[in-house]
Amino acid sequence: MNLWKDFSKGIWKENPVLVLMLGMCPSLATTSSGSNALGMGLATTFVLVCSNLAISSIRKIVPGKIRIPCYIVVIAAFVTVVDLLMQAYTGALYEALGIFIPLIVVNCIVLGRAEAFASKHGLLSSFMDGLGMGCGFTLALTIIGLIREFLSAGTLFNVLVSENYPVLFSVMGQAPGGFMVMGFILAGMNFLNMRKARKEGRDFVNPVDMDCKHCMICRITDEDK
Amino acid sequence: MNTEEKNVRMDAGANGNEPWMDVSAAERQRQEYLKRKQEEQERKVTPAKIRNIFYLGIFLFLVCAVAATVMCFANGVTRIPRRQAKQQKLVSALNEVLPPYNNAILKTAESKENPGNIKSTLYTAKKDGKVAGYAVQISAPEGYGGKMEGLISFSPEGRVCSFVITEHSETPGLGSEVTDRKDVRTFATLFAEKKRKPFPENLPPGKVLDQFRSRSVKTAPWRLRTEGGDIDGRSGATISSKAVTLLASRAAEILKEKLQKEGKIK
Repeated sequence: MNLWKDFSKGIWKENPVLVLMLGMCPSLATTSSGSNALGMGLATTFVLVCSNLAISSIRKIVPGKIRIPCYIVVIAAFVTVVDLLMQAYTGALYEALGIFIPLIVVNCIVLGRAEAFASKHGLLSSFMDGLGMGCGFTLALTIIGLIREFLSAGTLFNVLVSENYPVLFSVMGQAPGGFMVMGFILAGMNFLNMRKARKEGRDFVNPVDMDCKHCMICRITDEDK
Repeated sequence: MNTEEKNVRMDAGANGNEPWMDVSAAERQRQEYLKRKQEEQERKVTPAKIRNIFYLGIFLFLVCAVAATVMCFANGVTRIPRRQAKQQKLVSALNEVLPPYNNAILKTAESKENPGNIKSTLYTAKKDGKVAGYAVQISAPEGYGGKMEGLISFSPEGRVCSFVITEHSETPGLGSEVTDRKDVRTFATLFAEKKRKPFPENLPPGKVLDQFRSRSVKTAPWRLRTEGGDIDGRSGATISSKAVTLLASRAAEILKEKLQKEGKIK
C-alpha cells in the first residue's frame, strides 16, 4: 500500500512538471510534438528509476556535506554509460531516444528526486518513486505535446487528423506556445483540486514546500488573502 | 545566573543601554553574543576539522575516480560495437540514397581532409563496372546543436539525387524538422500499405532537403534565400537550415573537383 502511494503521488499529487515545477526546460523544449514528448518522457523515466536506485544504494556512505556533488557525478556518469551502451547495442532505440539522453544529464527532476526522496528512502520505495515520477512526467509531457502538436500542425503523433485541417496557431509549436498550454493545464488542475477540496469542506493547499510559491519571488496568493 | 549571562549584562551596560529595564533588548543582546561566539568557534581551525575537510575531499575524489573509471571502461568496451553499428547505419543509408550498385563501395571510398578540419568521404557506386552514382559523406560543425553529418548522392553527371542527414543534435521539433525526413500520414490512410516511389524519390519528403534535388554541382555553392540564394529555410530554425545548405554546398564542391579532374565537366 505504501509502495503504491510512492508510485501514485508522482502522477497527480506531486506531478514533477505540473506541481513540483521541475525540469521546465526540457518540458517546454521537447513538447512541440507528441512523439518527441513521449520519447523524452520514456528516456527520463528510465534514467530516473536507475539513478534513484543508485543514489538509494549509496545514501548511507555519502557524507551529508558533499552529497549533491556526489549525486551529480553519479548521475552524469550513469547517463553517459547508458548513452554509450545504447549507441552500441540498441541501434533502433538509440535512433528514437538518442537525442534526448544528453538533455537528461542536466534535468533537475533526476537530481531533485535523488535529493528529496532517494537519499532518504530504501531501494524499493525509491524504485517506485522513480517509476511514478517518470510516469507522471511522461504523461504530462505527452498531453502538452499532443495539444501543441494538434494546434500548430493539426497532427497527433505525426498522423494528420484531417486532410483539410486549417493550420491555426503556428506559435503553439514554438516556446511561447509551450508556456500557454502549460498555464492552461495548471489552471485546470488547480480548479479541479480546489473544487474537490471545497466539496470535502477544506481549504486546498499544495503539498508543503512543493508548490511554486515557496520560492517567495512572487507572493501573489498570500497577498490576495 | 551563569557567567555568560553576567558577561552579557555587563556588555549591555557598557553600551549605554539599560538592559534590566528592557527584557527583550537583553535577550536580543544575549543571542547576539551567543551567535558571535558560535561563529568564532566555527572560524577556529581545529585538527578535527582539517581531518574532516581532507576526508570530504578524498571521498569526492574517490567518487569521481570511480565514475571516471566506469566511463572509461564503458567507452572501451563499446568502442568496437559502436563503430560496427555506425558502419551498418552508413551502409543502409548508402543503399537508400544510391541507385542499385554491386561494387565494394566501402573499400573504394576516398577520404579527404578539407579546410576547417572537416573530413569528407567520397563513395563511388558502380554497376557492372560503370559508374552509377556518387555519394559524399561530410559533416558541418555549424549546426545549432553542434556537428551535423550528412550523406548526399549525385548522378554520374553531377546532379544531386538524394540528400539525408545521418547524424545531428538539432532541437527536436524545430531544427529536426529541417534535418529529418518524415512521412505525412492521415488517420484514414494509417493502415494502408505504403507505396514507395522509384529512386530517387524513394525517401519520405523533407522540405528543405528536397530543394537540392537535381541541382548541378556547377551551380554550387548554394545559399539560403535570406543570404541571396534560392533555398528556402524553415522559419525558427535558420541556423539548422544554414548548416544543411553549407553541408550540401561543401559536398558539391568536393565532387566538382573530382569531376573536373577527370574531365567529365568543365
